[in-house]
Amino acid sequence: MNQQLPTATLTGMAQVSGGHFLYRASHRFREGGFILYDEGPRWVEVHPFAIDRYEVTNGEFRRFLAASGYRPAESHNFLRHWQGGFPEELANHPVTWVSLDDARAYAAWAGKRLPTDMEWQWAAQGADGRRWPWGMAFNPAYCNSDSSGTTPVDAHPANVSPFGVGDLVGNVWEWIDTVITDGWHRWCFIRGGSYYRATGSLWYAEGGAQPVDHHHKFLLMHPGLDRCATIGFRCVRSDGPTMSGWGTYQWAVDSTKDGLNFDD
Amino acid sequence: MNGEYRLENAELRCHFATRDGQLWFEHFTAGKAGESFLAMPALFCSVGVGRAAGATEATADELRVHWYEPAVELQVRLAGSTLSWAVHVENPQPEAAIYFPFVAELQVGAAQKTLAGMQAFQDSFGRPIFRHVDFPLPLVKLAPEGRTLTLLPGVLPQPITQSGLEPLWSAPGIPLAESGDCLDMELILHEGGWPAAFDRFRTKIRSGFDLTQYERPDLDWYGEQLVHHFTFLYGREILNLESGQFELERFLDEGEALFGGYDGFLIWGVYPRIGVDERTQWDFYDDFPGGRAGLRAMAQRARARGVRFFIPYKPWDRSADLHGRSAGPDHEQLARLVADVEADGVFLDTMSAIGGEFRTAIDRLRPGVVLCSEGRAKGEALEVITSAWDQSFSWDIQQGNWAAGPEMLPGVDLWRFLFPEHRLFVISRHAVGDDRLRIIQRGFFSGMGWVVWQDIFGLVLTYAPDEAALLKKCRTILRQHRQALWSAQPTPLIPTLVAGVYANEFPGCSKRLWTFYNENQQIVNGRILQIKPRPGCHYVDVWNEREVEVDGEGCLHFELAPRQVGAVVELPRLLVRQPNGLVSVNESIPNATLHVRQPGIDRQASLSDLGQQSLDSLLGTSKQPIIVCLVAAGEVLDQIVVQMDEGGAR
Repeated sequence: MNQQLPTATLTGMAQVSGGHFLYRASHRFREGGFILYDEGPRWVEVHPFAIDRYEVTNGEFRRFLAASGYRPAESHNFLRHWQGGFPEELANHPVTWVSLDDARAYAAWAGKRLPTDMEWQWAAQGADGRRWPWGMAFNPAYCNSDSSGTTPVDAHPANVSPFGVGDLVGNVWEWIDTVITDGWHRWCFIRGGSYYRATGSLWYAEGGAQPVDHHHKFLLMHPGLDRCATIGFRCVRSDGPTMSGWGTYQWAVDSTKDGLNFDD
Repeated sequence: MNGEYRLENAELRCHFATRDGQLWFEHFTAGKAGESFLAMPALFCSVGVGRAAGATEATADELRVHWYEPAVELQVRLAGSTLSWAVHVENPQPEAAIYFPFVAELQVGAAQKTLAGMQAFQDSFGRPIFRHVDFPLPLVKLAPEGRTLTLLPGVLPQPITQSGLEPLWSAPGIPLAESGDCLDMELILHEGGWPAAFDRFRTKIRSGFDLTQYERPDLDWYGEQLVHHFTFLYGREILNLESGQFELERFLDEGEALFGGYDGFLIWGVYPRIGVDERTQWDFYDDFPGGRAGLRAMAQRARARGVRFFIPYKPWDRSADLHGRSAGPDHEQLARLVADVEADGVFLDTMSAIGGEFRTAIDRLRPGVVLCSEGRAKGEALEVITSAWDQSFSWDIQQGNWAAGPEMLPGVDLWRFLFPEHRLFVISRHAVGDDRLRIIQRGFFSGMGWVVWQDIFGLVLTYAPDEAALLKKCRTILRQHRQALWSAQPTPLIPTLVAGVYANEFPGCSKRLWTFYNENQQIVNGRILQIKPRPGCHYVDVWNEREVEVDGEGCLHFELAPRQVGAVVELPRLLVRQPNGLVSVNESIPNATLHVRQPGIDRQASLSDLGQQSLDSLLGTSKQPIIVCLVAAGEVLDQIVVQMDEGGAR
């Protein structure tokens, strides 16, 4: 194992107290609207939980693969940025090109789970209704927004929430656990925005860092398409109940498929 | 300078006079003794107010009148049965105007009926019926003894806005700065009424277009297309939500059950996802389930079922270019994608025109690929893009959605009748406030195609059972009469005998189709349309599946439900019912089959079986009428309706 991780901080979790908060999410208007979800404002209860201080990194994900033997059933675009070998220079960057199920598998292995939409917002926003982890006003120097790639998860010390959670906005979007279906579609939320901003048309999905009350409706199709260069994740852990339940996730270890092999 | 001038020949007698700086019609009749078209004298033309008319030159067939300040020359010519004039403006002055008051007189002229003109095509609420009126419609007056007087643009007008046309017929004057060539007119005396007048109009408009793309044999297949499906790839219509795989066969089966089948489908998966990361529209096709090879296999399986496969092109996907990561020009990438997935057509998202390099690049890699634009391809774009959506569109946002534009019946699209080969597909824009039944009816009335769009990027708007059933019925009827439907000389809004009943005529080589819309709140029953019956033909109300009675004056008697469409077809008598209950066929037609239908029963028989069985033995003892159709390649060649008597079919 040749990781140079400052493990004390990168693997740590921040404690988030529970309580009632006025949940008020926003989404970008798209043709066809945004249905079957109450964006608030509404009072929700969040039970105390611990949340990863930073997104799961490439280095951490490599350890997970080595320890668990996890291989996705559908591997198209799985860790696409590792295809030339593990990118050592990205060891401290958030892992990307992982599907929601890949992320859930990691969390289950780590004895954790992915956050709910309310938990993520509460951890990022706290009680005062701020729009960015650090306050009301956006500051491009405080996060990785509108750039050409990911940065180490701890590269922006000011990108920290009232609960001490880092790198919440910009850098990469983060998977949220809740999957909603209307019988016609399956979709989930992603949070925080990313480094990438598509330009030239208003029809692109919103780019760059996004405020902490913003979530993006992400229609799920197929892991090969759903894995993105700009979506990572972080985990939470709680002993008590959460806002919404989550399942336990299992994966099939397919010994015949061993396309990825990274030494831990 | 006053004077009198006579332009006359065997066809027309036109006497003019100049008085007080104005040009007057003194006499305007068909031939020497014809009835006057107008109350005489009528003011033909004046320029400004109080300007002096100058030198006037005249020969037997030409007259030139000059005005000064502003300097205008009016050149009037008589040739055969056409009186034409041209206006030359030497120094346009916005404050000055030119007037042709007699045109307004033509419209309201006393005894004879004026058929058309901008104001004439209005529904009973006073709303215009024609949509996309980008050329001045002809003004048509039914003259005595069945003759027709038609006013047409004298030179081909460029497509211009409707507001720019209205002064031609109605306003007191046309500003000289804006008038341009549209002041040049032809007044033609001819035979044939409104259909012939519209045909002259169509011929004139089309003469300015190069329509060779429409003659390509490899694009012929597109003529069969009536119902397209907008296939949102993230939805259950085609996606298995459990497996994340596409299920083409189930999707097509459901389309057959609901709508009678799709003729084509447009896959849609780039928007609204694109922009979450750097992937371009081209990259998506590698990452959809199965990648490009999977889509190619899907396209092949669809074609094997007679369904065509369309992909979208999004010209707005420019981010890779702007970030310096473009993998090549769009036309090359699109052509490559078309070839890789073996697409039959490309839908041009947000576009109404496209560069010729796209057509060339696609043709180089794959023949037979059609282009269909979201916006209306008009002008030169129509020469490249052979098809478009016909959507009512408005930028108003209602409940988070872009609202539909006004959707009104009968609502005739002028371009459908000027360029029948340019296929138009009616689509409900997001359906907020839309009455989808009306949209389906409008498509049927004008003989257009439809786009079924039930999943608007995640917002589900399924067709109600009555809507799906209506679309299925409309598609079935139009498909069965394609030979007439795709006539090169259809006529919109032919005169009917009942107020509030509108009709379009589609003459084919062996059949004629009329579509109707009854705007009234009541059933209309009886004489609806007067035609010239063709010997050896009979008439079937294919909407209600009844034989139509034709009286001695050529009037068709049938029934139209309130606020509903209808259709009558003129068919050659090929099927004959014998007194003994057998049906025989007059002519031997290769590959024709006989379809016998009664509610709940659908049987086919080959031609050799005909005459061998009575209808009694083919069918049960139901008292419902029996529909017998002679069909070849999906086209109904003849159809008879047999009413069951007490003792069965006789």
